[in-house]
This record gives sequence, structure tokens and C-alpha cells, in this order.
Amino acid sequence: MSLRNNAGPAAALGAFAFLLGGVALAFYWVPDDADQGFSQRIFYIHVPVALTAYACFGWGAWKALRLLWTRDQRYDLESYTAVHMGVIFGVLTLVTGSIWAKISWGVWWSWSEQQLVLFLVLFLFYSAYFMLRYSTDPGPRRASMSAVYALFGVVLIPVSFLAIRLAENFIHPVVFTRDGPQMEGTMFLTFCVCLAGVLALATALYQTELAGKRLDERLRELREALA
Amino acid sequence: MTTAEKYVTAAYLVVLAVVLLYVVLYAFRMARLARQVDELAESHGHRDPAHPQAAVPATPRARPARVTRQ
Repeated sequence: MSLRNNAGPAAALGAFAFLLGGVALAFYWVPDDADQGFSQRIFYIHVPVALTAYACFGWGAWKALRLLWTRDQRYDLESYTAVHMGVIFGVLTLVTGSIWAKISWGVWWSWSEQQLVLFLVLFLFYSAYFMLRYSTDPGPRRASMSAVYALFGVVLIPVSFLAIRLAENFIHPVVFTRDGPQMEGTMFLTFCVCLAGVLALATALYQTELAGKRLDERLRELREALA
Repeated sequence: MTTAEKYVTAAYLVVLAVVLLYVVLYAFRMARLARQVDELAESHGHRDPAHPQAAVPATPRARPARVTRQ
């Protein structure tokens, strides 16, 4: 297996350009929201980060499915790395969401909000993935167990995403409805640029982390072979 | 700076801080990997192309038996 990583630098450059452009647009171009004013600008980082966390968990589940389907052990490391990235973006979602809640609702957290609680459940579920993974010895058995766990977690993603739309009483804002995005064109464009930037950042981090983990693995194998 | 501006800036800085923390941790990891590769190379008598005179085999291997051509 090659240790070369060509996608990483390209994604990192893309992330830098899109995020720089997105932050500039968010702070200097889009108008203040009629309801929330300046504080609505957290939307341009919070929502892309949350969607990226979902994408990472989904990618991890896809790789887990590939592992169970093909029994190819290289998918184990890819699934693990995707879950690792998902947890990092999950932390960012919770932190930026708490900051936004403090400005808008006056509290850091609200247990009555299904969207928040379900995202926390999803985050804790995938955090426990690491405990499961490191409580068993490396090998095909651990890879299969981790894959099954990662696949179970992916069920929580649509539940978490749809919770806000299924709830009757909520204060968490709904922007994307069946009628499309409920925002001005400038706001939507800025959101798309920020989403592209955060997705590119996740890709760059995923590629870098995967390359590091593969390097670690190859070095360990080499040391064992030379011992 | 208003309170809303402070909070919004804090949210963006948190993301930046986490990315920077990741880069720092990754730099440490790369340094550890480089050290392990050096140790492995040194223990097996490989010379570093950048410092060829510095590397001395710690555990010299047995010389392979000479094969005489018939």
C-alpha cells in the first residue's frame, strides 16, 4: 500500500482559500439577520461544522460496511480515521452551538431541545467507539467489532438531523425546509463557500491523519520484521 | 466591540484554535516517527544520507559467506 498522499495538500489549499473567503464574506459582505442581528454569523461556521461531522460519521460507516463486505483490513484504518475526524468536528459543533445558544437564548445548553440532545447522544456514541476499539487486541476481530459499532451509529444521523423538523415545540432555528433555504442569496452563497471550506478542511485532516496512522502501522510492522 | 461581536469572534477562534492544536500535535507525532525511523536505521547499521560519517552500526551483522565463482 502506498504511503503517498496527493489529495491532502490539494484539500488543504482548498480549505485555506475557501475558509479565508468564507470568513471574509461572513464578516464583511452578508447583511445582518433581521431577527438575530450580528450573532447570526455563527451560522456560517456552526452549520458547516455540524454537517461535516455528520459526513465524517457517514464516511466512517461506509468504510465499515466496505470492511464487513470485502474483509479487506485497510478499510478498518479508514473507518477509524473518519470516526476520529467526526468526533473532532462534533466537539466543534457542540462548542460553537453553545456559544450561539448563549447569545440567542441566554443559556449555554438546553436539555429540552431534541436537536441538541440527539447530537450529544450521537457524539457520545462515537466517543465510546474508541473505548471499544482499545479494549480489544488489534486484529480482524477488533476490526469487525469496530465496523459493526460504526454502522450502528450511522442510524442516529438521520434521527438527529430530522429531530428538529419532527419536533413541534422548538427554539432551534430551521433554515433548510422543503421550500429550500430560508435566507437571502448572499447568505446562502456565503454558507456554501464556508461549507466547501470546512469539507475541504475535513478532507485534508482525514488524509493527513490516515497517512500518519499508516506510517505508524508500517513502522511497527518493519520493527517486528527486523526484530 | 459589542457582546454579540465578541461571542461570534470567539466561535470562529475556537475552530481556528482546534485546527492549530491539531497541527501542533501532528508535528510532535512526526518528530516521534522520525526519531523511531532513526533508531531503527541506527540499530540496523543504515547510514543517514545527510550525515554519512555520523552513522555507526550499533550491532554489526555477520558478514555473509563469500561465494567463490567456479
